[in-house]
Amino acid sequence: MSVETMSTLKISRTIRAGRQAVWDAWTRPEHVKKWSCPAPGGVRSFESDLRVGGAYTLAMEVEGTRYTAFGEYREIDAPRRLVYTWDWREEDHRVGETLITVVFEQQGEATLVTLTHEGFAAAEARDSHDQGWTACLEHFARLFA
Amino acid sequence: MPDHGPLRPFASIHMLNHSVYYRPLMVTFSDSALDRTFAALAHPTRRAILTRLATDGSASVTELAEPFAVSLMAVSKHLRVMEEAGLIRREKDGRVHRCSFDPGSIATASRWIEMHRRFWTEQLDSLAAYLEGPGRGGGGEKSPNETGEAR
Repeated sequence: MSVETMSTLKISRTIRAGRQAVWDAWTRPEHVKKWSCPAPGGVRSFESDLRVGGAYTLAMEVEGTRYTAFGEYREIDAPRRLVYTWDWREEDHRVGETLITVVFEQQGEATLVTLTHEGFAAAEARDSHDQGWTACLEHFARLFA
Repeated sequence: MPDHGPLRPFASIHMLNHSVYYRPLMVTFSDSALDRTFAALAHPTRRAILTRLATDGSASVTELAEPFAVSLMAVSKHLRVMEEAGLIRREKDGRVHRCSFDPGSIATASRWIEMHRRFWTEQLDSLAAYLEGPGRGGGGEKSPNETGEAR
């Protein structure tokens, strides 16, 4: 496997909506505010300058704690592909700059959304490897479950 | 919150059983400890050593070096990296150093990845609920802003 598969998290989901609808829901503040927090109604604000190099800030509140994700758009290919950086503003949640790639594929009347979140490990950790982190860690987790 | 035109208030999400959403959303991890763990795992020889220790229990440095075409010194260096990362423990058994697997760091790193996995899984669930919920008409080619401006 390649460098890119290291420290990478990949999640897919089929959404019963057209691709343009899904893209809009993902990128337009009026929509993002409605869904983009694991805690229902938890989005406090979403400011977004949707252009390459533009910044976004997504503020959430979960049980009284503030979580602010922020980053910069790297690639915008509406309604197919969106690449942006991701980190948390709060010291406690910071992970360093990570990269998110979201690919939207029309499949009949539905859309397959594939999200890849990568870059978790330290730079040093990407030097030499042949395995994805998740598989590696799951393997060890199983051994000691 | 601004009016969202053709979109209804986001009632559907509240009707979902979202009691399982991750709380706390993010827990605090030590960056440096995670860095050490990931860095220590980022080498095939070290992973092989770790797998062996995890599977077969403790082993001496000499025993660990056997399967590899590397010097005892190189293996010692790998072991030191893993020891500092908290992946293994080293104990002295008479004159022999015995190494054993220490699952703590792996568990932390694993929880950390799992936390992000859950976060994004819930985000996608939430998005699906938003787009597929009552009043959405089950998708198709419809855009949330179909009655709004053209894109």
